[in-house]
Amino acid sequence: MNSVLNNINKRRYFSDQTANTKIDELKKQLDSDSDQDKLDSMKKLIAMLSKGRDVSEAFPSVVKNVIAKNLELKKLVYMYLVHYAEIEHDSALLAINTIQKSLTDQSQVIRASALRVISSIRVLDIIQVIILAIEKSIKDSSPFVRKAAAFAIAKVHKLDQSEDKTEELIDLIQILLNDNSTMVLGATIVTFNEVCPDRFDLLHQHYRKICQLLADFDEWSQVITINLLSRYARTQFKCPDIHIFDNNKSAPQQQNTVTPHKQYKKKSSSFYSDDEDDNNSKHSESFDSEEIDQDHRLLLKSSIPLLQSRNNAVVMAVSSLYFNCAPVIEAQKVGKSLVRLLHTNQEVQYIILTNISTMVTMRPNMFEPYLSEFFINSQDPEYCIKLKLEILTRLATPVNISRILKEFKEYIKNEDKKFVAATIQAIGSCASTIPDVTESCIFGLMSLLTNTSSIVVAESVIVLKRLLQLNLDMKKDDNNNNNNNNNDDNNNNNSNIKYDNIIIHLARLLDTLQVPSARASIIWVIGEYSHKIPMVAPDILRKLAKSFSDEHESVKQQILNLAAKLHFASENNVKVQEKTTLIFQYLLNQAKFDLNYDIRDSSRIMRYLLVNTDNTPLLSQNAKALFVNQKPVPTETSVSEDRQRFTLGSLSHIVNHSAMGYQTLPDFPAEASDPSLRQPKQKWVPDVQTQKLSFKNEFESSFYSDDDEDEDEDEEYSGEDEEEEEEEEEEEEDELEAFFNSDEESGKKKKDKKSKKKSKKHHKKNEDEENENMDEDEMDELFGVSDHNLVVEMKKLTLNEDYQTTSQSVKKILLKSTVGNGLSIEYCFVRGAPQPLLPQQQQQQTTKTVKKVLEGEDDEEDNEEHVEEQQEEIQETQEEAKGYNTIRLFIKNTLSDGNISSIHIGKKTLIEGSKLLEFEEIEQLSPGQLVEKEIHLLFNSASQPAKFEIQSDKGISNVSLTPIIGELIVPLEFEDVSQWEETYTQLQTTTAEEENLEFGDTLKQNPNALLSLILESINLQPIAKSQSDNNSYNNYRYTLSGTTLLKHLPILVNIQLNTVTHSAHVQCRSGDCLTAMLLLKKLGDIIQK
Amino acid sequence: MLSSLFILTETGDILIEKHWRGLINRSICDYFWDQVLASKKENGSVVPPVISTPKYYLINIQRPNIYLLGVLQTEVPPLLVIDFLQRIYETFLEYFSTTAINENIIRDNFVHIYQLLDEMADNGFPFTTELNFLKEMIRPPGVINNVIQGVTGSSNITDLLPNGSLGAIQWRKTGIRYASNEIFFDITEDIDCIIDNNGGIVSCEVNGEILSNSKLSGMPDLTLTFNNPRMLDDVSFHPCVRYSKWENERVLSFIPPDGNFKLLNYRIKGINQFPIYIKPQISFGDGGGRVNVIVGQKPMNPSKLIENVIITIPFPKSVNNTNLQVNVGTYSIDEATKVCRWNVGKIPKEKTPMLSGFVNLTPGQPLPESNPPITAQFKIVMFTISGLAVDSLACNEKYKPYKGVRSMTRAGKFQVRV
Repeated sequence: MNSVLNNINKRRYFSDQTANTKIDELKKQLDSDSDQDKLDSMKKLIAMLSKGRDVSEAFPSVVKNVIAKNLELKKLVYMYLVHYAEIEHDSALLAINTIQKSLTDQSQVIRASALRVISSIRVLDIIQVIILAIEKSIKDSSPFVRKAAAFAIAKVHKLDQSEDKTEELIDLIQILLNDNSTMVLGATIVTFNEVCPDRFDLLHQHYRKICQLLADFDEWSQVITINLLSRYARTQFKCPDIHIFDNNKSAPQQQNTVTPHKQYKKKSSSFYSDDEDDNNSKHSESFDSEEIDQDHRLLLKSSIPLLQSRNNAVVMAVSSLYFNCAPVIEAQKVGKSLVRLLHTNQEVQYIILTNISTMVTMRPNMFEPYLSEFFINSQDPEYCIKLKLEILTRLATPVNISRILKEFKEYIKNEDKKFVAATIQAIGSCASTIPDVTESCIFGLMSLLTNTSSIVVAESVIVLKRLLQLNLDMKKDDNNNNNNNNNDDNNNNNSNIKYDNIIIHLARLLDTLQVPSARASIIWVIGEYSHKIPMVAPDILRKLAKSFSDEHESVKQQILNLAAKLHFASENNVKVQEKTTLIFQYLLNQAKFDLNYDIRDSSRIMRYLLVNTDNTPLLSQNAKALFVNQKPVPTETSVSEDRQRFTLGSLSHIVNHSAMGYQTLPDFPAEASDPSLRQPKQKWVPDVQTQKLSFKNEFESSFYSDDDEDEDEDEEYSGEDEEEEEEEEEEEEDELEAFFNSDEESGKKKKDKKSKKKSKKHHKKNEDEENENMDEDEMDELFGVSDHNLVVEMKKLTLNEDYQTTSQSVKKILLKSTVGNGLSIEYCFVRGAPQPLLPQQQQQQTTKTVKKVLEGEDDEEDNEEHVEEQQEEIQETQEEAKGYNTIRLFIKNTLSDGNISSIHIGKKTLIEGSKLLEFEEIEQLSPGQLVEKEIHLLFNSASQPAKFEIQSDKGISNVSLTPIIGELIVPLEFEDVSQWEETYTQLQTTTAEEENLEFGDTLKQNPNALLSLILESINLQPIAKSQSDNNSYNNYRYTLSGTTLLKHLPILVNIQLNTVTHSAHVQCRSGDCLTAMLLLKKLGDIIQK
Repeated sequence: MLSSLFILTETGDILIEKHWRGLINRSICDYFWDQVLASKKENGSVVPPVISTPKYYLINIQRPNIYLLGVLQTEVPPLLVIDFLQRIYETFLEYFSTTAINENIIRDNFVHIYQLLDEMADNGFPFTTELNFLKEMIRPPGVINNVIQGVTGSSNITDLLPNGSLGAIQWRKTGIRYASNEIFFDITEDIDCIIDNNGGIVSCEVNGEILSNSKLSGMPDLTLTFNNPRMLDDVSFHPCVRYSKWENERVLSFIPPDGNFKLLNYRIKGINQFPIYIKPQISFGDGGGRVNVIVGQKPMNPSKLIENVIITIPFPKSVNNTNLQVNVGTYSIDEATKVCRWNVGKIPKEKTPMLSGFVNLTPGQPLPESNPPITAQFKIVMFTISGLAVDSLACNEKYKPYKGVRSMTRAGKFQVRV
């Protein structure tokens, strides 16, 4: 009971009493037999550790418990071990052996955690042991363990960064890069980025796979992967805005560069474009984005959906990728997503604002539409306010400036005077960049000069001073030099501003304004621009001289400067000069006895420079240059601009210095690397797990997904698939037989040939047929593709190649003779078979078919009837009987002696909506005899098998029939291709599954075999084959169509082939998205085979 | 990658320290705490999220009652760290079924916290962050679980991973069973806006989110449709949502995680009608100021109740004392900060809530130019300002799930200039 209470109140571990517990006691407890005691003392140790106490003393006692069976105890020991291993590394080595044993534990979680612990023990002595453990784990069956192994590599690298060790680790990374589990691959790229971030040569052949699987990575590795791929793109591809840079080049060069681009364009348009390709002309319009390398495009395309990620870091990474690697026009779209992130929390807001503030220094128009998002809310923290002000300033244009200034006026009222000061600076920068508003800004700022806050006034004066300097100096240049080559044309508009009035206004302020820094600034302005107000300036000096002794030091300094400047300004006017010299001397005398030594010093210098020049002739000659000269306009330096040198989204960018491990983003190379480098060396076949698929990402690879199934069924399904493939190879011969061309003329011959072959394969088949009164020809006509169908087909297909339709799918084993007590059943799907008659309808038909009723074939129909029905529209066939598959069973008695009797279907286990029409009971099968029977099955699911029993006198066997996607479709005809196109376009709004694929070996050798391969395993209606590109003989387009059995919706397939690059772009469109996905997967398998 | 993580209390005490890449001395927290105090002292502001020290970079997030402080030595995208810290925080909330973590919760569950931190990151990089995984490996605490462990001696750690989660659907395990299948959606919209003194809208946007609580058996594949999906053009999704389906058909197609999760976030612009109006008039003259604030409900169809209305009026610091009256609700003034909090409650139908009176200024202080902006809080239940509503929910499983949708509109950063 005590322990129960302990568990409920864990806080006691933290109480002072426990903290004072002697470590010796805990050690004793750790040596006890009870797991509970050990656990208790481990918890106490961890609590003490958490309070900052050094409990390394207990290390030896803890290490002993690494062997513990209790998982919680084990984990706590691991935790402690990792914490102190560095300090107590001799004792830590004692634990290694035990941990190593756990590496072979049955549970993947234990294996993974053992690997994580052993690699976290930062002791150089065991590095080889760790590497061994990693080598073993990267081949582990569990992706969870392999992921841990990928991380462990990075830990080893941190422990020993020597070159040869790194090489060893890179080998391991290379192995892991071949992994197809997104979990493992993501972790591997994180490790890659840490161990060998520059080894792009290793990435080439995995590049496409990584791009395609990107959306399935976990969000954290997505961030690292996108950043890595950004750098990859910047080293391997050409600048996407190449035409911009081309402008600078000479014309012939331009032509040279454009030609190869056009080739790319064609490829990429056939590959990636969503639009219909019949209007190829559209693509030839030059649009810069199309000149991008297709691999480059792939990266951009597979990352764009991630802008919708819930993870802010992912959105930032994609934005950075687009900003740095995408054409400028496309990069625009990331703006919206970044702005959305501003509303998550203030920490995120800070990072995003910092990044935006750098982005606007380069491309302000990206964020112009979101101006009001950057208006300041009274609750914003200080660090965000500054950034927002800067962004607003950068976004200012003549169009929106009035809105911004209106907003700034609000800010000026704020109580936080620092904020107000920052706003005034922002107004100043707006005024200097947008000449239209300079005047109103200046007046606005002047009104602020009466503000009670000295900070505000000082800031206003300083900004005014800067604006005056900027504008007057430019004007001066303009007037004097008559030179329009100034960096800005601003001043042209400014000429109407009366600067003299402003200066006089400022001078008047001297009577009231008390803030020293502001007074000093004003006096400086008067001195600097005294030529503007030649009559007023000496008078101001006179007034200032009266109050000189009461002024602040900085003001005194400026008064002296003013006097000196006036001394020169009045050189031409003897009368004025006399007066100013007197005032000047008066001031110098005052300053001579000033309390401040700086003032005394400068007065002394001035005296010898300007008044008592006898001993210093050389200096006094140059005195004018000292006092009256062109002062440089203070330039605004912005941190955000400085940050441009760092990659967006990086830590270095935020702190504005290069952090350890920062990788610079290189510039695009002049020449792109060879795309063939990225040709995968190892064929990438999605494994069962990747098939299970990516939901968020139907974008690229979604077609694998089997939404409706849980894992078991899925495995079963793919298992069937493999089986099917195997059998396909084995039974090549069968396929030949099964191949059935019902062209009337050749029909006869072929039938003969076929029957011969069949008879070879299935001994005594003819006998059987006789027994059943079954004529081979009739069979064929009954089950074969209707003549009508084919005639139409042949017309429509302008094919100059062989293509074959099959009347039935490959045979598969339903029941093995060993399991079925001597009874073996093979089955195949029959194509083009009529929909079965349901019992009530059968009755109506019996009269017609009564003559032809053959044994065991109760649903067989009159041949004519059959053809008639085929000619009718599918919808017009019996409503209730839609969606049935006809499956032919080859039932054989394999026993050497003894009959099998009363074979029939027993209990059926069907999913809801699924129906099975049985065959009539077979009374008897003699040894070796083979009987063909048909059943009609409505699967009502794309994956759920129909399970039923086969009963005979020898016993009951359970069998299951799994739907095959290729057979869940029936051909759908179209009058001509244009009709097909029409439907295809209509279907665009529904599910459109698509994928780009590389040819498999079979197709590489003979690309023309594609159609036959497809029709072999998928029951589709070919519509047309055409050249998708008139200029090239290498691009072909196949169009196919069908109706899905599950939902009776049309499904259209469009395949584009390029026989040079050995690649295909497949699109499936249907209202039945599940079938479309599965079909696309199947097509993928065929093409990649 | 993250080197270490510290969890600190509001007062700067270290509660938890976790090191992934070797020990880092606790003294780094003192440095951090100096920074926190410095920014507080300087302008009452909060410490910036990223601090650069001579040896380390500190990235912190501040949440009610605690700071989470990440220490790193090398280049890592800072948002990744912030998001990870946030995820750790959210995981704690979910594990300890609370809405705010405090010192006591951490002390009570420190073993759990260490176990979680150990699983959530390896080598300082996020390792297992999917709640579905974590809950299978480390059982969340709770009185019942604790008692069971106490009695049976079994531990809260298992060596299991959730069934069928190693593939693409990591957020859901197979074989979940519920007696009654239910799913709830909570649509919450926050209005962030700035209104000028004439009632004109300076900036406005609505940030919405849909939280869901799913208690469904099996692997339900859901399809959710909205009445007006075109409105949602700026969204972010939980990883379970199929992006292409949304792009093409504007329906949300997803297999939900089990339990609570955030389905999506969205942002809507261009709202220019609010159900509430606030008219503040505050003017300062000879040594004092006249205050008059009116709050009211605009006609709305269907009429909804505006609840929990709180108006916060920060007076200038130079305000000395106040003489205010309200006809609805209560008000209080914090003497130190001069912030007046007027708790209106529900806006009554029969009269218009008003706060009026005078404030006196401290003699000798300059006249304030204007009053700082007023902020408002309120909520309206069963109402979305954008008009967004769930149209239908289809489920592929055999059962018919019970569906519940609630909606609410709240004030986010609702600010009215005076």
